[in-house]
Amino acid sequence: MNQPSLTLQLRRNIPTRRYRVLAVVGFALCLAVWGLISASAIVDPVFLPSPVTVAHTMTEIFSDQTIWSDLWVSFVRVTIGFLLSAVVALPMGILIGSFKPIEAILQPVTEFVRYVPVPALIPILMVTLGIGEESKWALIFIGTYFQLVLMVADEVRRVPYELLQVAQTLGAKRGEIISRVLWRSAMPGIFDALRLCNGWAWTYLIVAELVAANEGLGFRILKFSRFLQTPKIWVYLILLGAIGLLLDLLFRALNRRLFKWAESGK
Amino acid sequence: MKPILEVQDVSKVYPSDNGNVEALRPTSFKVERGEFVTLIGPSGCGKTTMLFMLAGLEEPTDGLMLVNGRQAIGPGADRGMVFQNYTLYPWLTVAQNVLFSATLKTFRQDGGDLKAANERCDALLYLMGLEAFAKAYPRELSGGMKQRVAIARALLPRPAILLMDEPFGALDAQTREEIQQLTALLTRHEGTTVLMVTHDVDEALFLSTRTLVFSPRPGRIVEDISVPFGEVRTLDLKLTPEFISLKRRMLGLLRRESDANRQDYLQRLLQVQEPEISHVHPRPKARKESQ
Ligand SMILES: Nc1ncnc2c1ncn2[C@@H]1O[C@H](COP(=O)(O)OP(=O)(O)OP(=O)(O)O)[C@@H](O)[C@H]1O
Ligand SMILES: [Mg+2]
Repeated sequence: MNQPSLTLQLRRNIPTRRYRVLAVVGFALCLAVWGLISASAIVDPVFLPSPVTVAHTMTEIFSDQTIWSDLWVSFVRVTIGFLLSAVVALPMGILIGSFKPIEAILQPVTEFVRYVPVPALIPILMVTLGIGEESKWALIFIGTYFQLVLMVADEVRRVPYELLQVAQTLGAKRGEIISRVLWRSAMPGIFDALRLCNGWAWTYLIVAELVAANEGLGFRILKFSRFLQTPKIWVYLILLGAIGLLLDLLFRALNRRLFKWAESGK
Repeated sequence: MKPILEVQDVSKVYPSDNGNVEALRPTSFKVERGEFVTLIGPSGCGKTTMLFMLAGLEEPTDGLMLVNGRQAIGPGADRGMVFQNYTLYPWLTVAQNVLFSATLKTFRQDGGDLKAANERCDALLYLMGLEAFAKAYPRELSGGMKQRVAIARALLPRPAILLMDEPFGALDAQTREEIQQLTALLTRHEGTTVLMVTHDVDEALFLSTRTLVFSPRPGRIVEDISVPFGEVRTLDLKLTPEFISLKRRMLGLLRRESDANRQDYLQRLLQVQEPEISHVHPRPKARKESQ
């Protein structure tokens, strides 16, 4: 075994165990700063309750049914919106990345739409789709599709041209090159793009639920704030962070498992 | 019998933002079945361009290329290609990489036999000394092993012509010799016609039956040298006077072609700098290089 060195080395890996310990230290530091601030009473406890208060509230909330149904409703909304977006964005992104004329037609328009702030669309969506589930799916779809399609196209364009040329000299035709070379080679990157977009989908969901909903995590947060129940808000925020982190880890683990070949041998 | 390859006045001009780049002057040559031809010449003279056009990956600006008497348009499995950087598919195992061509539509349409292809894959891997790595992924292989896989992959569909672009350039001397001999043996055994780009005179003479020497860009063939060392060659060949004298002749050709301009430039550079340098290091006046 090498002696563990404590100096900071540029981009060198550290053992997994130490990585995890340090990650926990990061959370502990956050908690400590939070505790210090609330103990020093710089901020009114109505806005920033102490960690202990939040912990109490947490046990309360989690023993109640509401949070679980909120979580379920929100999860289903995100997943439907996200899957709709992925199902359209993957083929479109692959087409844009594969063929320049298609890129020329679609990419500038997509870039344009991408810069329209999505929350600004909520009024229009509510007028056209009502305040039911459809408007939430639509908002998540719009919020992630235009990002995802460009990221997928980028991944496809990043595939080394030589890999295509090899396929051509081995007798592959256009369709086969797309499915057997471009798509396969871009898959790990596309999977990573999905991971990022899933995170954004959650953000847009909460935005939608804050504006118009009668259940779900965002709706509940708004309701708590009406009654100034900040500890409960904090519990929900922590839950949202935890969900994000969990999904992220899940995506990463899946990525590593599915695409062992892509791991750089360093 | 028709030559396997006929190149007639093929030229290439790359359009670019600051004027066109003339990469290759109109070039003509013929290759007979079973020949091992090397293309040699200074960097940038259009060797890769020539090979890419033959592979159908790049369109000639002008001229005609006939494979087996028929015009070759676009890439096809009758012309295999080995690239300079081992371009293996990292998501496929070694065996899957080698078998790639046999899993394509064209293979089935041409009535290919998958079982026979599998057997051929095993045989090629065995000959290349890779049978133990059939299930390994490219990232687990060394550079030399990767290049052997790439060669096996190109040979699997039994191409009439094998095109190789500096295939051994990145390998260390010993690995290079080993793979050179393997490749020569395999292609000779199967009667494959080979066109190989190299910038290594030793390699060209040791492997080929014929060498085309190119001028600096825009390239053209300045000399077509046949290499009469017979079929079976051992490393000792490189020490024979015949080999050495041919090597000298070729080196001279290459130098004459590539250095004419550079020598001139160097001369001027040295003359300009002479006064500054001379009081630090008194040195003899720059002589005119005769070789
Ligand atoms: N796609 C391209 N666009 C524009 N110019 C190009 C392109 N490819 C090659 N060239 C130019 O054409 C000339 C010949 O290039 P080529 O790659 O064929 O040379 P080469 O003989 O293979 O050189 P090397 O020995 O360095 O590999 C060079 O001057 C190069 O700059
Ligand atoms: Mg080259």
